[in-house]
Amino acid sequence: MQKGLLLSYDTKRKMSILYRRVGIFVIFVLMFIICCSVKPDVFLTKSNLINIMRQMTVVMLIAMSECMVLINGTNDLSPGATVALAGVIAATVYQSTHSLFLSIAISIFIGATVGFINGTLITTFAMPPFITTLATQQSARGLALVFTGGHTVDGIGKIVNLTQGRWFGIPICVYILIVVCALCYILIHKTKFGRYLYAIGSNITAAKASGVNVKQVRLLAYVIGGCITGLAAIIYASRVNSGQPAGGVGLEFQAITAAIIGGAGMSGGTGSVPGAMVGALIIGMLNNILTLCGISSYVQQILYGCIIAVAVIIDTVTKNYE
Amino acid sequence: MKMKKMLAIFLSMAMIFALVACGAQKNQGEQAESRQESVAQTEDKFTIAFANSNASYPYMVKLLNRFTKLCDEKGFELLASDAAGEVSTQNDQIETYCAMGVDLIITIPINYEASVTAMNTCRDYGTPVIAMFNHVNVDREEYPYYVFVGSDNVEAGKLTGEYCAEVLDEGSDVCIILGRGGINQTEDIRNGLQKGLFDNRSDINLLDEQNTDDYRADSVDLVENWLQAYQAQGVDCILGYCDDTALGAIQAIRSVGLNPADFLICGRDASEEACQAIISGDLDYTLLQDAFGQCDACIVIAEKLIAGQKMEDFDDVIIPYVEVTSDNVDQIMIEQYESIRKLMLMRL
Repeated sequence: MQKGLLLSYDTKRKMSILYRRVGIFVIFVLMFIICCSVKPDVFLTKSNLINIMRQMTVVMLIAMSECMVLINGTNDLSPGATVALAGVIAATVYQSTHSLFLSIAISIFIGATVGFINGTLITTFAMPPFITTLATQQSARGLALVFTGGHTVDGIGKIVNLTQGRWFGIPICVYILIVVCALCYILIHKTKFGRYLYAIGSNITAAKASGVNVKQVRLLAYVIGGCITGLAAIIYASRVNSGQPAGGVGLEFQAITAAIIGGAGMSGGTGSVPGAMVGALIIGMLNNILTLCGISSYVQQILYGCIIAVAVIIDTVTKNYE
Repeated sequence: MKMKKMLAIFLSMAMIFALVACGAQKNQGEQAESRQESVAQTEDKFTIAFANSNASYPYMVKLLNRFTKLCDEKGFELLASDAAGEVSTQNDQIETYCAMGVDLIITIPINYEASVTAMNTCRDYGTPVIAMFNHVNVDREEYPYYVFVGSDNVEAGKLTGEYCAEVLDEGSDVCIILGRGGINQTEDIRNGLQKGLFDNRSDINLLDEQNTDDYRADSVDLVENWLQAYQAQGVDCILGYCDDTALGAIQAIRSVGLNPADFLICGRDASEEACQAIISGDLDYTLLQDAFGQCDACIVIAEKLIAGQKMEDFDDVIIPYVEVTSDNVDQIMIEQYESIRKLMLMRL
């Protein structure tokens, strides 16, 4: 048994396991309490909490997609550009057809197509996910700009209702988010597919030896993730009341940050839907409270960088004790 | 033996590169002397290189479309690049254009200081360069090939500020959405707002000002949070760095169930969407930066260069902003966007 300086190895191991199970939720609650204390009159109001949910909808949806790929040991840098591409195409379709349903379907289809391309390149040609998705990111962005000639696509009519419309006082996009998160939870934590994701991410060789069709599972993860990104795209367009070919920059990094804060590791095999959701909420709360307090955007960037570093350090340290 | 061969190959290549570089240096010097004369004498197509700062921004798209149209009409060759907001990329692109031997470079400098590197390159090659939109920190006496064409960004902020100073009630509360941090335009606009509004009206309260990167989406989140943070005293006026930020503010106001018409919202650039927002009453004020006028001025300079004039002969061309409110927005729409609408229809 190894001895630490202050705590024994066993104690550290137990703390690490406990942190990996519930740590992020404890941090979330602590942060919530701090935010309520700092700005009690404005933070803990129905309108502000709804704001946070609405602001984090797109990031949280993409975090679901990223969670899926991170768990199985890959990654995806294309969501931001996919949001732009799917958004402008969906907006254009709406302009022609005035059909909200068709616009949503097209947006999801575009997202799925990008996911399919990513998955095929990674599984069939064994391309590194980082490079592959970087390439599709560039291509999707370029396609969005070519498709629109660099112009925004306005006049999106009913699409706006996704974020401005409300049912019982809650924005429609929040309901969509809850449904998607619930489905992702069931898919990742309650089905064979989810177990395969974890198996591949933990030990791909063992997974293959156990008869898991790694290529199929990874391809499916990218396609499903792409569908979710497509849905995020039309919500993004709703949020900015237009199709923005240059929009969505950096969304994937926010989503990856959310997933990592929530426990996903870049090496795969770890992560969870509740963790990614809480990670996104933490980012959303931070964004919100810093603006409510009037903190400069320059300082905000430093804080985000520090949070990412701390999250990765904690992930690395606690993983060593498992 | 293998090492010796590799060493020999390496040394040979180094010698070849050195010789080529010396030759290029010598040629560069000759080119600097005779570049402007060759423009007048050449029978080849006059080549203009447009080194854009960020081609995804609507105003820049307007400029590129205008240049494309004018170059088609005049029979010029147009090369275009996009630095995506990164000054080192833009400097590299300008360097490439100089090495290619283009006849004129038109650029939208990203940074007042950092873009000096690109101007140095143009000076060394003797390539005429027009800086649009933003100045570069160069002395025209030391940089004879440099001319500025554009509008004064400080003036833009000042005009917006003065409009607000006239219209705002006593003790109004104001929030400012700024552009990207670290670019001179953001600073110039802010300085102008200070002069036009806050220096004239000491009763105006500045609640907050924040930078944005993704102008539209960031503005939506930011304004939603401001409306929440300042619910008690209320926000009376939102000053947008550009139309995208102002339109984002309008979205945010609607999303929390408020009416944009109850706020004084100002933008800049008079994009088509912004003009429509003025017509619908959501947006109160924007500034038309005359993209067509700026592009036309650049092409006139190109024609004069072909006719034998030199860059030293030209003064900087300052094109004033035009204020756009509900009083004149219809006229602006017809002048600015009818032609673009026709161009897009023709391309389809």
